[in-house]
Amino acid sequence: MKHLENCEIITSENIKSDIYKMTLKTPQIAKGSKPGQFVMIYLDNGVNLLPRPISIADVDGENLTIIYHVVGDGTKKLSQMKKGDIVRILGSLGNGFDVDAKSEKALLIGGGIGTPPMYLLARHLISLGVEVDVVAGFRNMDQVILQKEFEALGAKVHIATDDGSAGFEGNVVELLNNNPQINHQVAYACGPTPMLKGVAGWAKESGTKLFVSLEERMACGIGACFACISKNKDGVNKKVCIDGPVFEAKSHFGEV
Amino acid sequence: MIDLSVNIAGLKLKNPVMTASGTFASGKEYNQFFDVSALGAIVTKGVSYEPWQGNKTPRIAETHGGMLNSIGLENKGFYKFAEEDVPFLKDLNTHTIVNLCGKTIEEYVKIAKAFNEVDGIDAYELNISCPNIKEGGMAFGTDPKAVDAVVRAVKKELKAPLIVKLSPNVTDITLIAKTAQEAGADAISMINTLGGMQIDIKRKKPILSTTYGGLSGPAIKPVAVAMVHKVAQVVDIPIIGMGGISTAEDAIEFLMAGATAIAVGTANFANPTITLDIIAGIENYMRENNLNTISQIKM
Repeated sequence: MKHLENCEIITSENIKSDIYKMTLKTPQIAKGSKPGQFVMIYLDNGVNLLPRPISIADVDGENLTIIYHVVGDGTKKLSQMKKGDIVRILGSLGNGFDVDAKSEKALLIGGGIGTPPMYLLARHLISLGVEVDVVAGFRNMDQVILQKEFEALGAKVHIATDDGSAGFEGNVVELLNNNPQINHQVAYACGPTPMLKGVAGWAKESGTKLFVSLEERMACGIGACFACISKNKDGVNKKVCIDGPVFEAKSHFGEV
Repeated sequence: MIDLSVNIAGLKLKNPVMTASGTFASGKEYNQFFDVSALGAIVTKGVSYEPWQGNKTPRIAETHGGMLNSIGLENKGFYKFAEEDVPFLKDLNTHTIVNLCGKTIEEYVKIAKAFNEVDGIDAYELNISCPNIKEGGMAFGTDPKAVDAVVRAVKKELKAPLIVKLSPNVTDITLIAKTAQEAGADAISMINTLGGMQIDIKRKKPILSTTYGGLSGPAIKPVAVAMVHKVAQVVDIPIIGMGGISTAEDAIEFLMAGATAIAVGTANFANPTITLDIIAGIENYMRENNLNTISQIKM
């Protein structure tokens, strides 16, 4: 069920360099949210017309948390909003992760700002008794987020940075190739498309069933605008907003 | 007693607020948030006879007070539309208008004929103004001879009323409007998007996969109001005004410029229930100004 709500900002903080965390009071949206879903955030300033699609990092009762990167004018304005301000939100959107509670172990892979949706997924899986490994890759140590939070949930965390300033030096695929012991039947990944394709290649080699969460420019978030298309392996147009954002890697990417 | 109804192309709409093609799909998605039957009419996304794949992504870019799009009229084609969308549209308690597209006159005629066999659609909008496809679309809408030929050809075959949607990317839009009227158009809708481009200066390349796209949103409103005003003085058929409408005040400007009805496009993305606010706002304006009918909204 999708809802359009006016939400009060409960907290808004700068957690690392240009990365912000915002918690909003969203009684209806938070209640129905699943790991891997996203919300559309309207800026309502007359200049930035299009809502920003942002993944749900966590939900707690009536509260919903997002963690986002300030990449442009719109997210900058969002980061300047304060506790008590009202933000209009549409959610929860998308299919979310296909959570297979029967798997005993799961591997969660995040790339940069693709890491936050893994938090809600980790919390959900751990609550079901699943053993969770998190592999998260970042540009450098200034971008590393959520490490302690994942550890606090009881997940085993493996950090990779491009420059080696924190954890393993290299990307997440290189980390996985160097650590064959991190090997589960099911993996979930969110991050830039080149990373997801790299992970899909690794998953094929290692025989892992992989679900990927994709990102595309969107205008509506509900399937009406036809902006956020991702072609699947058969050349069929899929809408990231309603057919995704989560796709099974093999059936979407095909051979990588 | 305030009467919001208007007459367009033989249809009596309950209010003058319609949706602009391509921003509302067939209305199902928005019906999750409000009863879309409250609208004066729903204008669907463009439908071609064969399914179209559309352009590569990125297909959109946000601009200051607007957006660029280059969707490329992706649609599932006539048969799937008739099977999946028409039953929904038919059940609505409002008027439904299907936007028709093609790459050649033959294709436009083919889709028009196919829809003659479909019940439940009240009128058709001829898309001769999409800037984002290589053939057809705007290539027709910017050449008076081509406008004359395609409008005549479709009008001859189509049983239901025909609205012709005009491109602003022309030297003299009044010439195109007069041509459409003489060729048999029952109404004109205007304007489609303005040609535009945005460059990512970090990556040193255009943002849209197609380099150029169509600009819409509040940024284009004054251009659209001026064009509606000019065309209203040279044609007798009703005009559906659009281009950046996001408030009731914007809608009233278009009505004052000479439009009989208005359509809301990009603003649906900024607020999925905006059309309801615009209908209510027009009614408020009429109440405050002691106007009883939409036609009394004048400069």
